Amino acid sequence: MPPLAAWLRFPARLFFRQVDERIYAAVRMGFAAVALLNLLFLWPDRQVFFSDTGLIDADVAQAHGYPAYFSIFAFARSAQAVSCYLLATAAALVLLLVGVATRLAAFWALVWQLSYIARAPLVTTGWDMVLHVFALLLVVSPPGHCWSLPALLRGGGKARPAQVSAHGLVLMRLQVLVIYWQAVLTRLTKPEPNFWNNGDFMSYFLLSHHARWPGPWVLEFGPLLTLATYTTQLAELAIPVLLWVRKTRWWGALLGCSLHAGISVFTRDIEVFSLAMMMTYLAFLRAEDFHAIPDRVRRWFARRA
Amino acid sequence: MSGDDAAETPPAGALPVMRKVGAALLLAFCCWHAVFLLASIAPPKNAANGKPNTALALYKLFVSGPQQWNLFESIPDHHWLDPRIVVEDSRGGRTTVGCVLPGFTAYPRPEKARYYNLFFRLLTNAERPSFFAAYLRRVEAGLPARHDGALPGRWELVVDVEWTRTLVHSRRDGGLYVPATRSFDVANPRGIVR
Repeated sequence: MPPLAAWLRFPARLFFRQVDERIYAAVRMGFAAVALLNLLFLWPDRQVFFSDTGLIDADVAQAHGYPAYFSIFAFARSAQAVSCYLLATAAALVLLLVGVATRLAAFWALVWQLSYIARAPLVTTGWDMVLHVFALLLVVSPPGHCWSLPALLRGGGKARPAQVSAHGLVLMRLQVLVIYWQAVLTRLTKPEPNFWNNGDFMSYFLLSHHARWPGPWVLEFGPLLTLATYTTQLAELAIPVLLWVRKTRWWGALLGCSLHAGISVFTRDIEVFSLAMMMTYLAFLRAEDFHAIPDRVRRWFARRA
Repeated sequence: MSGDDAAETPPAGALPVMRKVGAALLLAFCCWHAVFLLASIAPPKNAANGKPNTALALYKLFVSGPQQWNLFESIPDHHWLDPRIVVEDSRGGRTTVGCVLPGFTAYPRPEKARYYNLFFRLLTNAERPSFFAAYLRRVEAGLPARHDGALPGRWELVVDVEWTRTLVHSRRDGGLYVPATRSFDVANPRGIVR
């Protein structure tokens, strides 16, 4: 049995082991792209959701903020101020994408997430929460300088990527595990009528307003949709485990991307959720993937040629 | 745990004092947050009975998020939602305006997920009725401007809904949905069945 000192050193070994900084750079860029897309979709409705002339009363939102109300929209209340805040946030997300003032840009993204969720809690969705938790983890993570505009301008593309602490990636991977497993457990423990347990969920879902093609055809595929209900639960249990294990991580990514692509095909207007979840898979990349992926792509093109 | 062992190198040895303090604080945060995340795998219980811990609530607000991943836990009972505002004019006629502020624009079609969430929560969220009451007051205050400063008659928010029937009933006769209509105004925030 290892001595006590070895056990006490375990957290430091786990969180402070060294990993390739390109993994952080990939997560940073993926996060910034999805957050920017989310912002673009919010832009046409910014006055409805966030301004004083909109649909959601600012004073009521403030009164409901527990244990505190924190939102930049407490100061940006007019139509012009709301537009300016969104434009500034877009600029911050572009900076995050290209790796300029990275820590500050990530902090701005976190404040943005907190602000709009607090100001308009009635319009929030699952992907807002995914972006919130990943914004926080980006703030405390190494920024991944190697893939950034300054590094590119310095000709750093040829430089060897640095080895940095793994703590951010460990927390990101744990977060993905929590998202999937808690979702499955919540459904399993839901009181009756529990459509996940009796296998009817997919049929009801495909008849609901979420569905892209609701109609009588759903009733004809009852057994298949029951199978799909149970398969979805199993897939969500398996995805984080497959992603975490080195040998199966690509199967995990394939399963996860297939699941979320399927959700996007059969539902309307939640594509950002699928993209946000796929973005989280970048935290499971390994150093060797940065050689393996280009090699595989090159071989694939060579075979096609 | 990570499977990255082959790529690992040991952490740097001698560090300046400030960096050591920073690393210790970072390690403490990582340990706490990892334990917090692992504990969050169990679905949160309904906190209606107990008073929530303020420190934990602050942590959830600013750092961790609520960690409530109840994605697709329940399915929407609605197949169709159509909210709009109906105003009676002085001659007894009825005109319809959109329910989206500012500008009384129409509920978007094709429907957007955020608008559905907004109106579904406004109409059904019994925990936060003040949002809906405030919305109805805003409508009441904003409508006169569209009618030369004075409302000619009464107004109401009319919501047409199609509820999804149970699969048993749908398979029996092929009917998938049941229509229903409710109307709301400042005096009737809970709605009246029409």
